[in-house]
Amino acid sequence: MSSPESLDTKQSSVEEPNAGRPDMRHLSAEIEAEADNLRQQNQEIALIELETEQIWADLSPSDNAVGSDSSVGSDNSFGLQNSFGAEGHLLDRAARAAALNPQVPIGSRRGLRSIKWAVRKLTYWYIRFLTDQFNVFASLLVQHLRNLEARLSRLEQAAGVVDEQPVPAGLGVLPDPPELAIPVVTKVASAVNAGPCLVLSGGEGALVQAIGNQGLRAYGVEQHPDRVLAGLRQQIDIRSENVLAHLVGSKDAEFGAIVLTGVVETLPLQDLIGIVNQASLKLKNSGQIIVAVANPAARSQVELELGAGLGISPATWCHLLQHAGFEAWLEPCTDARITEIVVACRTAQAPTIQN
Amino acid sequence: MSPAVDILIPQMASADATSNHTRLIQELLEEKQFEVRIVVERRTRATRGTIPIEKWKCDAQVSILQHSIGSEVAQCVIRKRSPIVLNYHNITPAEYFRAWQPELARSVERGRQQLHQLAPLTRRGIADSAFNARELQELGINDVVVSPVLWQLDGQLSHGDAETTNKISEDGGTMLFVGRLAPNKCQHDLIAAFAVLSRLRPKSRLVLVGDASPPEYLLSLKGLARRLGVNDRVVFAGKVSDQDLLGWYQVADVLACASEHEGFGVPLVEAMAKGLPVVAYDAAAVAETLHGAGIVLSDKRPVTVATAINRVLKDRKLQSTLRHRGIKAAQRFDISLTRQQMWDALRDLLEPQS
Repeated sequence: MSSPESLDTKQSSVEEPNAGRPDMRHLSAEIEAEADNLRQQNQEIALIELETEQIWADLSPSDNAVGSDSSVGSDNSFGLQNSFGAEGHLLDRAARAAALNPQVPIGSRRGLRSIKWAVRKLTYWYIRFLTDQFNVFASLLVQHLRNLEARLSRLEQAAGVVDEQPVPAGLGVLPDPPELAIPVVTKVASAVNAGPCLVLSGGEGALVQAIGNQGLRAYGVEQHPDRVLAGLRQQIDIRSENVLAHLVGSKDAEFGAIVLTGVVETLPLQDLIGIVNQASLKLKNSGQIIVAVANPAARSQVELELGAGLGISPATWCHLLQHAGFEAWLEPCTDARITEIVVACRTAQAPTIQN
Repeated sequence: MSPAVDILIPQMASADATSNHTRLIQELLEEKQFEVRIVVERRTRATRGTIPIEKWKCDAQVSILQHSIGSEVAQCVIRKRSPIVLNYHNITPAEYFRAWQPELARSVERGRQQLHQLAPLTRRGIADSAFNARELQELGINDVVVSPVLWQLDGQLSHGDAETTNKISEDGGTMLFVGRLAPNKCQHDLIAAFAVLSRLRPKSRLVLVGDASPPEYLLSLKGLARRLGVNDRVVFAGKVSDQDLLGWYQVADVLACASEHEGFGVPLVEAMAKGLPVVAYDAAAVAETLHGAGIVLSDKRPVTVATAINRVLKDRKLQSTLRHRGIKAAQRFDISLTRQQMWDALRDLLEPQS
């Protein structure tokens, strides 16, 4: 046998590919350097490159045409299912379903198979003509839907609208945590030493009010409208929004303190890690995180089983925050449900916790 | 008497590299006095003298399967557990087609699955390139031979006309690509590069020769050219005759290839044979096929490709070097040599006593 190079060579050797002569490799490197210079010197040309990428993303059926199975993941670390990804997946399925196959199955029954084969053969030119037209139409339609979806998604991101996102994992499995008892409110409010303070979730606003009474600016975010209404009636600054989205949408280094309570008791660990990472970004250098949650171990048996994996104990919160670069400690609290709170102050530039 | 060789192929088509390759193997073996029968799944106008797979009795001395896509002929081999010589032309990864043409994506996926099932039935693998050969070896096929695709383009080699190219005007030049308009061939990258090149050389043009598969890709390519403002200088030549193809090779100044998956790359060799300088992205078997006779880029961002093409168009000395090296490199694929290689690959199976 011979390889393409040596006809004399006997047997089945597989020749290694020749990547090119040294002078050609040198030339390629020189060209790549020249291209970099051109990019730097000629803004118009550099812009074409960026523009082309965007135009092609609009024109091709999917932003991730190659490897389209990989889901379009959410950039935040909350592990929330991204609506763009979910619908993108749906559009992928729609695209697959819309592709008409002119090769009609003919089965395996002997006599019938021949007849069906003959019919298929005779009509193929016609069926193919029709399916080609439909496939082009369906492809264009799906392509436009994808573009629309991508543009809507960008618009929603820019506007901070995330209300249509699915309910975070965990919500609904456990009953909503009750409003904070007075001893907890007092304890947490006294632990906050700088504003502005963000309370997630704010409930009916007792904690926001208590912090405000200390002369610190504070507001809460609550996703249950009835609780928000109760707070608004008392003229407390409680905003109705998805708490996680609000945190993500806040400016970096905006808050002196962030209080985590209520809804965090019902979220899985991955989301909690995401919250800590985000909260860390949104805090000022000397900011605090205060966590007021009940210990999941104290739940009833039904809640324990239904809520397995949702919420973590104050001790674990303490550990998590320490791992994120905070100095964190537990402080006892004279409440039957929340027996201790976690107070955490940033010690240095907080590292990000890897999921 | 049973035929000595059966060659199994999904279908014989005109202007198709695998079909031409099959015909040339048939001619080669018939010259050596072997009886050859071509077995097809779908019969077309180009299938004179073939038999349908339903009538295949797998009684030949050697059965050669041409494999590059999922097919009924491959399935039949698997079903009958017939020993074969696997002539592998590589299978484009399905990811390139999934979003554009799910039907084709399923077909190539099936081809990959069949490849795994064919491996234990393979007496010998014949691969177009070392790149393809490695894939077969990774499947556990030990006896693998590299033997390029057989094809004969009229006037293929232009040994003597290396210096006859006209001078390219300072602001012009024709950039050519030959091959199916398909997502894995990445003609969209060529249009993007051309958009940059056209700023450097306003009278340049891009010619894309080849049929669209899938048709949606062609629509998107046209949309891209329009939105980049170069649609009046991008020629979509479509599927052309051999004569017209030669014409395009003659009028072109450089062949550019941004393909991400080439199991061999016949147009690269054709271009080299015609003395056309080649600028290509380093993917799959491209560098191996060029054999140091073209500019191989590890980056195919538009500015990089355009810079390389511009360099070739303005540097006469470089053109001359590439032309000479290309012609020499293409000689490795001269039909007389590749026929011999194919015969070497099959001889001991057909003439065990030798």
